[in-house]
Amino acid sequence: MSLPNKPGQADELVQYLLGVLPPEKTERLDEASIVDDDIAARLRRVEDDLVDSYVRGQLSGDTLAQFESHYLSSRHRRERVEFARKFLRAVDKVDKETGPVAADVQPKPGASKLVATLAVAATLSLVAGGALLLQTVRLGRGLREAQSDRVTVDQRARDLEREVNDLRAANTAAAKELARARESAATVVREPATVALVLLPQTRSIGPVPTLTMPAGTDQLGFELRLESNDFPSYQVGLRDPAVNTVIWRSGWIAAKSSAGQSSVRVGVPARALKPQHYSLDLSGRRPAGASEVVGSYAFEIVPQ
Amino acid sequence: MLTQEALREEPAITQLAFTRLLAWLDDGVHSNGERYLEMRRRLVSYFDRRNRPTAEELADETLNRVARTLAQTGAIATKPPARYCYVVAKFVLLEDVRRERRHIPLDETWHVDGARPAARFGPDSGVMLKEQRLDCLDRCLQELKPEQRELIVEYYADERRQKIERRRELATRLGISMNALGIRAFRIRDGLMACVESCRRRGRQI
Repeated sequence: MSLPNKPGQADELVQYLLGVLPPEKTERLDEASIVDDDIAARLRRVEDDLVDSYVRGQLSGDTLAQFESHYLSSRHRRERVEFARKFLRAVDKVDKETGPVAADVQPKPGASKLVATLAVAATLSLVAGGALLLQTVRLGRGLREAQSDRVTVDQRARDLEREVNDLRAANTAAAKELARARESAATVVREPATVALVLLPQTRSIGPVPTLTMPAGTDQLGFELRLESNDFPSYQVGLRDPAVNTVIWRSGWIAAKSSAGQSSVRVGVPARALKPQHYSLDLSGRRPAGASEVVGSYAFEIVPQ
Repeated sequence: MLTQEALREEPAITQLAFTRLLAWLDDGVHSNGERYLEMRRRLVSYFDRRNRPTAEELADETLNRVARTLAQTGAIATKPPARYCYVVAKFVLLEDVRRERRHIPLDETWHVDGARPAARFGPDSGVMLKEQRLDCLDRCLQELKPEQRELIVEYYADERRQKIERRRELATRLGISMNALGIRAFRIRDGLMACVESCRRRGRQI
């Protein structure tokens, strides 16, 4: 198994993970694993490598015995091992199918840094572009039956595209009807169109992320963000794309509504800003003096129809 | 579970206290909640390594206590925030151990039968659950960006060459240190694990 950078440290981390360090060293690493960013990162790497080595059958002797008697004694850690087995199988499958990506690319001595960078980038783009197109499809199916024939993949992609087009056509009428209904509602009530989803304040408990299907032709999605308490005269909602960690849309400053003792902020988000993936709505409150502060965030997921 | 019952008596923290906790953990560098998630991961691992069956609940209890202290006192002087979290976590651990000594734990047991990895989980897992996990991994992998897929394949694939050498080459190509490469790789892997777990949980509720 591979070892992390600092010599002498990796063995100790492995022993720590296997529960064979003396108590005083264990306590020292307990603290470091929480307080020291560097140790925490190295420990995670060592743990992944240890688990991978077990899954690949590369552990032996005392290490294997200790791994099975100590490390696997926890459900949480057994789940890591289980995940690693599937994950590595998928990774190996793709690796075998596509081969190493641009493994031999080296900048030539004497060439300018810019040229070397461009050369690497160009080579990576050319090789990775083709390889990753395959990976996109194949890695996703890495744990299913082998589908190595490119023609079959392409054919399947075409079939799927045709199916999507058929579905889209079938939904057009319904989508237009929905849009018409939403427009007429918007003219009567001067606030965002139909509330499509009610989101509760985010808590630490890990529950399912609310999901929302966006019919074709939808131009706006309504959200009702429930507040724990209405502490601000006005609020602003930001739509955050977690993939790039950027706010991609913001509402104006709006007041919360109260109904039956429950305060909430209602907002309409333009559908063009959304695609099937996870998002969060960041809610900020503004005080009369003008200072604003973060109130909370509300996660949701757009799922394909 | 005993621990869960004991912890359930503690009042939940308010959203405002939670927001203050996030800001305090950020320690002046806005992380959009990342620092909180990282601290929670570290605490869960800490309790898990100490063989506590309810590691996640104990991690949440630790952070709840910190949040309540923040709400009551307005500030915590101990720096960095992670050190204070560790001190609180030690108390939470001790209390949980004491609780366990007073009661007979009813948690599951794990018997090592000497089976090799390939056989280990097969008989224990239902076919449907396994299928669901495969579907979830399938879906989560699809959600990765192409460059993320490339990185994990290169980083984790079985050795055709020496793994350490291959990783060094990959780090050179990306223009980053080995350490930074490792961090990127396990973050993607952690994200996949979280995605699979979340997907699986959603599946159970359907």
